[in-house]
Amino acid sequence: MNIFIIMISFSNIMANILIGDDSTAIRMILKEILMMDDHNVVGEAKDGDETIVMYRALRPDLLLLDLAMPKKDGLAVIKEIISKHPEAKIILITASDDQQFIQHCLDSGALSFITKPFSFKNILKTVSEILAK
Amino acid sequence: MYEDFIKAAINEINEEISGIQSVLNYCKNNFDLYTNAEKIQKHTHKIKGLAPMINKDDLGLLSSLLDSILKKIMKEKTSIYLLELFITSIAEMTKSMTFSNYDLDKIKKHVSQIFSSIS
Repeated sequence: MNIFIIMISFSNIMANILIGDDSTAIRMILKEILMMDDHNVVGEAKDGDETIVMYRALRPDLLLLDLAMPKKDGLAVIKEIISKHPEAKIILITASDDQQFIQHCLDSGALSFITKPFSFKNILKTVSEILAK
Repeated sequence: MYEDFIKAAINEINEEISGIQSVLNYCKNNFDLYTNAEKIQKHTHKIKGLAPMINKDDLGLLSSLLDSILKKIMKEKTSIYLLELFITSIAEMTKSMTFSNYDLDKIKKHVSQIFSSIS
């Protein structure tokens, strides 16, 4: 799968975005995709604890969050962030096919999810939709 | 940029495969595999998501099947005869990262059959 398909701009809104993912490669490609659409990646966290700390410090417009991370998994991160910042906009990025678990995360406050492997278009479309809410 | 991503992804996948190999090195029997299933599953999960993004779809699929088997083992809290299957699979995964166009069809079919038989 080639994730660089066609350059299409989806953003009407330029946003400050935090990425929480323990994969360097995934953080790298997400950052590139978001920056191509004129978003500002304000931080990159590589585990659950770091994601929470960076979220509090940076107060991003949007958090792209991996579900399976060291120290605290995505669900614990969502619960902790939403309990203090109920307005938080969180999109899950996951390789999981466990629909029940994904639904639990959505019920806990995440607004959408994207499955790995993801496409360039899918990331920007979902980000744009959630920012417009 | 895309080349940097490919390099980083290849490194990570190789690290995940090495991680599984390290765990398997101290698994002497099927019960050891069961007790270490969660550790191994964290690695298969990562490979499953990352491999298709660098055109290693077969590796992603094989990893996905192993991931499903491990989840089943953990869910049902049962030790079944799978250590050899994992040892063989990891050797094949390593080869697929070493040789371009390495054919994973045979092992994929085998793992798929095993998965069907325990589902």
